[in-house]
Amino acid sequence: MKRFTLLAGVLLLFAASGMAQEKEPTKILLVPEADAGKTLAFTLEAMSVIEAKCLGCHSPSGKSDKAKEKLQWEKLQTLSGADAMAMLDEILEVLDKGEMPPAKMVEKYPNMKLTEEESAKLHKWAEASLAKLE
Amino acid sequence: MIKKIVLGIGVLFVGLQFFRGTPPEVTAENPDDLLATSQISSEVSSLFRTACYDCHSNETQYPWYSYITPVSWFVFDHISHGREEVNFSEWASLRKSKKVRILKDLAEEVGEGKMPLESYTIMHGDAQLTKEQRDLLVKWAENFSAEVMKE
Repeated sequence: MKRFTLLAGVLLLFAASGMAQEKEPTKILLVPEADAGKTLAFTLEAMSVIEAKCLGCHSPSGKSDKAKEKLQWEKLQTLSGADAMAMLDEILEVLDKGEMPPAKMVEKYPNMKLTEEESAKLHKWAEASLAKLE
Repeated sequence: MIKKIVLGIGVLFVGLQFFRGTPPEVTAENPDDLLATSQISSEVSSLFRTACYDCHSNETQYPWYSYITPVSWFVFDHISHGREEVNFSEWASLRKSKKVRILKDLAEEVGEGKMPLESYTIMHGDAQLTKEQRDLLVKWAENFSAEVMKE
């Protein structure tokens, strides 16, 4: 009986440590506008869209290498000058053409589609950020 | 039998020539053109004309075979796509951020040997860039981007 209790205790301990080590949901440190230390900052409304619809792929823990190579929002906020300008230009083009999230993904997960309102929020943020750089 | 097949292919080939497609328009006057509106060395200008302008400007020089179907389908589509991506004939009308992005992509793709496309240089040997020519274009794009940023 004692052995059984001991074994159960060890198992419980393992389970608890496993749970503690379980990956926390992706928490990306997008910098809000109030942080003046960064070149590119995010409005709260843009951040909410990015976190909900973009970070699944475009973050260090993203599933697609191609997506990560193309854009990582965390890295974007460290860009400045021409690099930041070029990336914002591309984001605007992608939004205008409705190219993201990719059609295949939207087909599989229809709720991931950017609504017009969400697209407008990102567009507004990108335009405002570009205006500051230009 | 072989005669019939050859004749059939011949008839099909001739018939296809009626479905050549429309070549993207060529315009002689391009007031917003990059080379017309910017101060660029003759060496770099010449590289642009031989390696980039057939697909990325309104001054495409169509080779004779580009009018023969089915080659025409490939060439016309390729040029339309090329102009859609970047059209140096519209340079002055582009937004600053777009210019900077084009120059960044140019430096990257030319530097890595991705541009001009191999499918183009196969038929246009003079568009094949040497290492020195690539370096020259990359350096030019970086310097020119800095100039554009000051605009």
